[in-house]
Amino acid sequence: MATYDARIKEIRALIDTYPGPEIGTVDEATARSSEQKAVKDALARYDAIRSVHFDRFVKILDDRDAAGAWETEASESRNSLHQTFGDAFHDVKTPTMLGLKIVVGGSEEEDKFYDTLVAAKSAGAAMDAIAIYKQQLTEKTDALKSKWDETSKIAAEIMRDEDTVSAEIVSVLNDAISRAADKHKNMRELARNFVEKCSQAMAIAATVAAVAGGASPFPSEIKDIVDRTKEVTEVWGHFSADMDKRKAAYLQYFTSDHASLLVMFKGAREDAKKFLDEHDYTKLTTNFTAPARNALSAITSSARTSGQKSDAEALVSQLLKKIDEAESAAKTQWDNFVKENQTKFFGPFSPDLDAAVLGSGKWKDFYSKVSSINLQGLLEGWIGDERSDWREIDQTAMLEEWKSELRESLSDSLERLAQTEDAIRLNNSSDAVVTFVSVKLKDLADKIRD
Amino acid sequence: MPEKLLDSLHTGLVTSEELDAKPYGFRVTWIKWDSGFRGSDLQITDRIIGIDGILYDATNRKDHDQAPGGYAEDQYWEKKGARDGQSTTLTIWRDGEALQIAGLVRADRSYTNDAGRRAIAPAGPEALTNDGFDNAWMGWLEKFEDRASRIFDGGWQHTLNIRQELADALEEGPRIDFLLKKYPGPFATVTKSDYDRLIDSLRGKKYALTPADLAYRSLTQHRVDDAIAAGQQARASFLSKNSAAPLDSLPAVDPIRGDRQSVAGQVVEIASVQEIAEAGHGWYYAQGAQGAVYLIDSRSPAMTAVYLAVERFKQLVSPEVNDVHQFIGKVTTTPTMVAAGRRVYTGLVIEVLADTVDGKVFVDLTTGGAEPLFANEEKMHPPPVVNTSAKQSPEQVMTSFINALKLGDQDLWSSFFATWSCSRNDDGNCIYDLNGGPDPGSHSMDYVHARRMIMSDVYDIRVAKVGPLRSLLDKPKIEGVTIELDHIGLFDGEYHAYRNAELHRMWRLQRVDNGPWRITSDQGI
Repeated sequence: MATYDARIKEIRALIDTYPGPEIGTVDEATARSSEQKAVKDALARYDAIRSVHFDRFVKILDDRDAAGAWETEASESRNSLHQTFGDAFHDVKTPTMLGLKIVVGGSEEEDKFYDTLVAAKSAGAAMDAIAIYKQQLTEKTDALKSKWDETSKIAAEIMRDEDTVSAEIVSVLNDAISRAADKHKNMRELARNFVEKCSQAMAIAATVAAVAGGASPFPSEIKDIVDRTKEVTEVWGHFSADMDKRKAAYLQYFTSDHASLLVMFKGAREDAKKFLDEHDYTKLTTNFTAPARNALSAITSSARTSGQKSDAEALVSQLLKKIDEAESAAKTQWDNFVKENQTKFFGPFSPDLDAAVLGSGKWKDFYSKVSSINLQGLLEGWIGDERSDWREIDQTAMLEEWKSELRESLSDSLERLAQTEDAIRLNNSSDAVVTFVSVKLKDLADKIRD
Repeated sequence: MPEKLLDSLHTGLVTSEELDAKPYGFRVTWIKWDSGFRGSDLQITDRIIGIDGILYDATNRKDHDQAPGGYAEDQYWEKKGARDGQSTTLTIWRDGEALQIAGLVRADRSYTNDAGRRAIAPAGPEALTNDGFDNAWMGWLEKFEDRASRIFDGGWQHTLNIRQELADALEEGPRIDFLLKKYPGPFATVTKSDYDRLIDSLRGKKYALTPADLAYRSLTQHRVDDAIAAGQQARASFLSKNSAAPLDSLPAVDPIRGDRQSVAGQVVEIASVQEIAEAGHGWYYAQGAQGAVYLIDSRSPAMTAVYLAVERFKQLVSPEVNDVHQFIGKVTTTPTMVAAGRRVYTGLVIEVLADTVDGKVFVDLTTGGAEPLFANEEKMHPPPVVNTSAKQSPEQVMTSFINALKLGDQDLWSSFFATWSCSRNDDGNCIYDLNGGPDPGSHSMDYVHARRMIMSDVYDIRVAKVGPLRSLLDKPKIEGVTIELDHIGLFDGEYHAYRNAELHRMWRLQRVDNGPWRITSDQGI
């Protein structure tokens, strides 16, 4: 604890200047001595309470409503002066001029001193402002953490569901390729056999026609090929349905669930940035602590005696220390608040933020996996086969009935398959899936980017 | 009991020098019980401007300590060769007039009782005994005189809680009774008389208010009733027109992953809301079916319009409106997240379409642009029965001002404030500013407070005193006057003047070039 006794010592020194008993009559000396004692006693009472008030001023800065408490304390300090030192002549009927100078003059100087203390209420106001500022920072820090946790949790759930769909897409692609490839292979073998048989059959048919005068029956393999094309077409039908289902799920996530979350989180970021602007630390210093320091400095600079000045310096240094500490703590809290939330709420769209709420990285893995499934190439090969296999049959010598049969059943069936596969190539091939997802993902990312 | 006359003589007055007063003098703040001026016409607050025909001079203050009540007063009487019981005449200044008041100067006395102990008066009590009370008689007397002096010396003009002072003073009743019974004599009689005067003063002037005086209160109640009825009708019509459903009848929808379209656009009636706040940003939270969260932003333009309407209601109808809302709103597809305390509220935002505040103020936000009217607002302008004549005296202006308050007409009430300013600078000169009055609307908060008071604790306000007319400036000619108001409260079935920190007793009025008197005090009631 600091001591604030310079002013008291100063007044005490004045009290010691009372003339001794050798001056004047015995009655005058007695009265003077009595007055001196009364003034000294009053000063002692003031001394006892003055330091208590000064200590309270320092302590008040830690209290709630420091400005109000400061005002009360300033008023009580002044009352204490008036009730102690200022009331030194309570029992003195006719004070001496020296006594009047010491008590009245001294009290007036102290009164002026308290005027500057009253004006330094802004120190209390600054501490109140800092307390509110810190409280709001704490509340906002907690709020942003809660919001981030909640957003991350919901985002994780959505991204988990997106991952599930992605895994299903890979599986559906692989499964479809596997099943279609088997059937294509089988179909191709059947086609070659059919072409071979067809050549032989045409020779036989020509012989039969010459000998028996009738047409030879069309090779039965064609039915197997047509059946296979239907099976492959069915595979693609199921595949398309499966893929559409997954794409619909993606759409739900990208345009609704995930999009809503990002729109909401963008709102939270905007709110946080507004808070950041409104609570800029420099406003605290400009509006509160700087005026408080000025008012505290005025206590020292306005002091009317060296004793008051000395006490004021001791008091003000304690008060400034409190304000410095509180201001520094507020700045640290502010800096931490900004730092902690920079990448999540205040700064540009960061990789951390992307990973937590958007998950662009995982989509690269997905693209890679899907792209490695060369459905596109396979489809192109199969479509080529389908459009060439039946044309390899030399129809020059073919009976007209055969030609008609070939066109109506096999070629039409193969063409339909080729068209189906072409549609798959355009809409649900690996490339098409990657394009679909990447376009939707870009739209999604646009929801949160500034 | 022995009474010893001392050498020193005094008038027995306590005074305070009034350096800036014109004429210069010493204000009487107390007349001691044994003063030679007890029983004279001298009053506390009188200003002593001279003694025995000689006036005091502020420019020649060397003898001011020897004036009545000064610490060296006895030296004056010694110099004059005065004796105990000698007559003296004070020249005093009261209400702008000089009066002569005669009294006696008396020798100081010292009293002792039969046991040789110091007493306060010839018949006792002993100075340092307490007779079972909290403190000794000497200390008690000092405090009693201090309190009485404070009240008689303009206590009503200062910010005092008169009723608390009265309660404190009444606690001294038993001690006064004890004094009279055990120590009968002049001291007890005078002290009892002072005490009775103190109690009378603190009780405040008694008023007899008639039903006509209080009619304004029922006028307000009728206006509130009218607003409530109009609000209820408008609300029912609004609910019906918009096919509003109770909020909890909507299916619970996850605000992020649910089917928001299934509830979007639905107009809902919200029975109750809870106020929550995220670092100072307020929201209203309503719970739907199965814990579904719905949120209303207190900073939305719609809510700003509601708050503005409520403020106008307070000004036009009644200041008593609690912050209790019954919203009607449209469910949006916008999800939002509010973190308040330890809880995160994630829900859909509700756009407020209408609101009933405290069951009194209904605001339809779908009409009236940015500042829609509350129900019945267009009928809330009171009849102009307040005298607005430019020729009114200061007292009449104050009465009209009070009547405007009673009627609840803020514009009319505000019109009694000055539009100019004329305040003294450090040199004591008046600085006139033609447009220096308060900004229009700057008294809105004062008005709301004043309305609250006139509709609750304050039953009437009367002009208690009109001060002398003072000239403040020659060109333009500005005159000023101070008026004291009695605020009348109801205490134990009686109407009495009272005051506390919420009420302003002192009011300043000015007029420019003989124009209308207007209020220059920046206060409401």
